[in-house]
Amino acid sequence: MILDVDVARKDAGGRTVIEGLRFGLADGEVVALVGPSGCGKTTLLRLIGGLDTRFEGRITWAGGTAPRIGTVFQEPRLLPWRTVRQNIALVNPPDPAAAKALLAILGLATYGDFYPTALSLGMARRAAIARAFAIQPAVLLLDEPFVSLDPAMAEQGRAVLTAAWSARRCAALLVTHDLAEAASLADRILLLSTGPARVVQEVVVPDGRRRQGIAEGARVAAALFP
Amino acid sequence: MLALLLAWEAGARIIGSRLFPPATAVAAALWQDALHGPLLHNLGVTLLRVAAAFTVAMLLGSLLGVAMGRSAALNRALDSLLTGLLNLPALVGIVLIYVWFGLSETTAIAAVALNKLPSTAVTVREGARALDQGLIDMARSFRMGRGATLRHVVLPQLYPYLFGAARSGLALIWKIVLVAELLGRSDGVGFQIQVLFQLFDVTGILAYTLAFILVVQAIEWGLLQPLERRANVWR
Repeated sequence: MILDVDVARKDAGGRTVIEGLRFGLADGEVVALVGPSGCGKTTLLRLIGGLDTRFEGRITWAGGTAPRIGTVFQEPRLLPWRTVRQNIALVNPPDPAAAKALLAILGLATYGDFYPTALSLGMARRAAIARAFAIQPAVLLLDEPFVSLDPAMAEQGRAVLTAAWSARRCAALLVTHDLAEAASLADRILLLSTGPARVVQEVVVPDGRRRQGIAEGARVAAALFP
Repeated sequence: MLALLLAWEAGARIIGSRLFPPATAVAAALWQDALHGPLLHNLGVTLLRVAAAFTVAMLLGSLLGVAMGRSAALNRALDSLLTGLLNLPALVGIVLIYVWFGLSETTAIAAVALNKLPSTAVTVREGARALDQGLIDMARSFRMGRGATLRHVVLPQLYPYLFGAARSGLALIWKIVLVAELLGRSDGVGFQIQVLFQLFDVTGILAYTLAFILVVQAIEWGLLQPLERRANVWR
C-alpha cells in the first residue's frame, strides 16, 4: 500500500461530513470513489492532499512522508494571467520537456501559448490534467475531472487521461458520481454513503482500465451493481 | 479641450481683468518661469515629496489592507481606527503632525502619507477578501512556495485594486502635498502658490496649476496606463 486512509471523523460547517472512512491505495492502482454529490468526496481529497489537516484520524503514506501528488480540481484552476505553458511551468518541480510531451498527448500541442480565458472548458480541463502529470506524480487526485462537459468532450477527456496514464504510470484516486465512468477508468470502486461519508461497498473491476470507452464502462457497471 | 482654451482666451480678453488672465498670458508666464524662475525647482521638490509620500502610503497601506483582509481578528481590532483615520480632515492631520513632531521634510511626507494610507488599506482589503481560495489551494497542492505564490497567484489578483488605489492616491496626494507645503515648507509648488497668493498674482498661480496638471497627465499616460495595460494583457 502506498497510502492508507483512516478518517475517524471530519466535521465541517457544523455537521459531520466523514465518519469511519477507511481504505488503502496500492502503488500504481486506480481507485474510484463513487457517491452522490455533497457526500464529502471533495473534502476527503482535501484531507488526502494535505490542504486540510483538521480532522480525527490518520492519513499514512508509505515511507512516512507524502509523495508528489498531482491534483486535478473540479474546476481547472488555471491562473488566467499565465499561458497554458506558463501554468504548467509554475508547478514544483517543473519539467519543460515532460510538459511539452504531455501537451501533445492531451491534444493541446498548439495551445501552449494561449491564455486559459481563450480555451473551452474541455481544453482547460485537459490543461489541468497536463499540469497534474507534469510533476511526475506518484499519486494523482482527480476530483470529478469531467463533470459538466458534454458527453463527447468527457469521453475525449477520459481517452487522453488513459493515454497520459499509460505514458506515466501512477496511482490515482478518482472522485466521481458516475458509475460508468468509474468502471471505465478504475481498478477498484468504493461506493460511499451520504452524510457522513463512509465506504459501504467495495468492488474490484475485472480487467480494470481496459474498457473501450464509456459505453463499455456502463455495461460493466450494470453487471457489477445490479 | 481646444474649445475650452479658446473660450478661456476670448472670455479673459473681453473681461480684461488682472484677476482673470488669458490662456496665452498664463502660457507665457509658465514658459518664462520655467526658463528663468524657480518653477522647475519647486516642481521637482514637490514631485519628490509626492513620490516619497505615495510610496510610503501604498506600501504600508497595502500591507495593512492585505493583513486586515486575511485576518478577521486584526480587522476587528483595527477597523474603527481605520474608519477614524479615513474621516480625519487632511488639514487636521497635517497640523497635528507638525505640532507634535516638528516642521521637517520627514514630517511633511509622513503627514501626506497618513492621509492616503487608510483609503489604500480599505481598497486593498477588498481585494484581499476577494482572493480566490481555490487558486491558493492549487498553489499549495503543487508546492509553489510562498514567494512564487505571492508573485504568480496573489499579486495578479490584487493588481486591479492596487491600480485603483494608485490612481486615486496620486490624485489625492498631489492635492495634499500642496497643503503640507503651504503650512510648513519653504519651497515647492504649495509654498510658491502661497507667495503668489499674497501678491495676488493670478497669472502665476494659473501658470503653476497648468504646469502641475501637465506633469500629472504625463505620469498617468507615461507610467500608470502602460503598466496597467501590461498587467492586463491576458484579458
